[in-house]
Amino acid sequence: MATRFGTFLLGSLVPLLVSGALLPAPQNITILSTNMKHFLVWSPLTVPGEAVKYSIEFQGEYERDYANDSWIPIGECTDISATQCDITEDISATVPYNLRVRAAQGTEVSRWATLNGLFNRVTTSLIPPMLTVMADGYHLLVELEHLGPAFEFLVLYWRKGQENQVYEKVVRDSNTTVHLETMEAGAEYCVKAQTYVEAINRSSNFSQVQCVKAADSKTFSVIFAPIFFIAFVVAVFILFLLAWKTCQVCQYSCCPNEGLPDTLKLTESPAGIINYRGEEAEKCDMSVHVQPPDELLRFWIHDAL
Amino acid sequence: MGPFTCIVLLSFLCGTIVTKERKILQFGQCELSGISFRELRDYFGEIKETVQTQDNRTDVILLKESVLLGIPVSESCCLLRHLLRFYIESVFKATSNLLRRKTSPLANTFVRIKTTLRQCLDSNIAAIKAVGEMDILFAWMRDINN
Repeated sequence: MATRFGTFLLGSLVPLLVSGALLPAPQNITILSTNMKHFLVWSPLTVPGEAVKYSIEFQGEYERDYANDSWIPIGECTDISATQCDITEDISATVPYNLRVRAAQGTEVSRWATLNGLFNRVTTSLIPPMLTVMADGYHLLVELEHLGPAFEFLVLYWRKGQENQVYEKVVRDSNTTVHLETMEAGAEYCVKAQTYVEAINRSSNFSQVQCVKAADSKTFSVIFAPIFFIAFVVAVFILFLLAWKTCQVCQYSCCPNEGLPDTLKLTESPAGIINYRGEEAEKCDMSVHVQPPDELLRFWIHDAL
Repeated sequence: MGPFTCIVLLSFLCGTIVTKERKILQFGQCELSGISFRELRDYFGEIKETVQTQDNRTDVILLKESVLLGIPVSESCCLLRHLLRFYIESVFKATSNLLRRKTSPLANTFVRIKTTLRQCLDSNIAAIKAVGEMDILFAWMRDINN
C-alpha cells in the first residue's frame, strides 16, 4: 500500500517539480480513422498567454512488450499548434497502438495524456468506393477513386435482367480507367464495387449500383451513316478514276492513235483497192534519200575528225 | 555490425515468400492472412540503404537461401516463428535510436506475424525435445574442434 502511495506521489509530483508547470494535459484524445488514414484529434487547451504547442508520441506492441515500454516521437507532429495530426505513417502494422499527447507553452510542459484504449488499424472505417461508370460506344468503362497503394477493388458487373450472371474483375491500380466489357447494342449494364485492404484482410461494403446503356444500333447508324455515305462516294469516285486511267493506258498501248495506211482501209470491192490512186507513192519512199558511197565516206571522216 | 547483417537478410525473407501472392499464406499447418508484402517491401526499402552501407561483414551470411529452401514445409511454421522471434528479441533491439522510427513498422509487423503463428509446437514440447536432443549438440561441439 505504501509503495503504491509512493508511486502515486512520485507520479503526480515529479512532472510538477520538473517542469514547475500547471499546464493541463490535452483532453478528449480520439482517433479518426477512415480508409486506412488515421488522425489523432484532441481538444484545444484554452490558457492565456503564448500559443500552446502539442507533441505526439506513439507505441506499438513491439515498443510496449519488447523495447522497454518505450515511446517514439512523431517528428511531423512535434511542437505543432494544430489540434490534430496525421499519424498514418506510424500506424504501420496491424497491432494495437498507444498514442499520447503533451502540451507545451513556452518552457511549461503538461504531463502526457494517453489515448483512451489502444488503437488497431483493423478497426478503420472502409467506405464504399466512388466510381464513375461510362459507356463509350459499345465499351463498358469504370473509373475508380484513388485511395493509395494499400487498396484493391473488386468490381462486379452484369447485364440488366441477367442478374444471375455476374462477372467480376479485381483492379489493383485505380489510376486508370478500366475496360470491363464489350456491350451488346442497346443493352443496359450495371456495375458495383467494393474495396479490399490486404494488410487488414477486410473489405468495404459495396457501392451503389450504377447502370449505363450501350449505344443503340439505331443511334449507332444515325452517328455513322453520314460517315459511311461519304466513304462510299469517295470510294466510287476513286474506282471510276482508276477505271478511266486504266482504259486510257490500254487504249494507248493496244490501239495507238495513228492513222491507218490507205491500203488497209477496206472499200466495198477489191477492184476499188486496185484502182485506188489516192496516194501516188508510199510514205516511206518519199523519206528515203539514197546517198552515193563516196559522199557517205566523206561524212564518216568528217564525223571522226 | 551483427544486427545490420541480420536486417540485410530481411530482404531474403521478404523476397522468397513474395512469390506466393495469395490472400492466405500456408506455412505447414499454420495459416497467415492479412499480410501485405508490398507493405513489408516498402518498410524494408526505407531502411535498406542505411543498413546495407553500415554492413561491412560481407564474409558472414546468416540466412542462406538454399538452407531455407531445404527446410521441409511441415517445419516452416516453427522456423518462421523462431526467426521472427530472433529478429524481435535480438535484432531490432540492437538498431540505433535514429533508425527506431523506421524499424518500428517492421518490428511491429513481425510481432503481428509471430503471434499469428500459434500452431507451432508449444514451448513445453519444444523444451522436452531440446533436452532430449542435447547429445547431438555435445557431439557437434566435440566434432567441430577436431
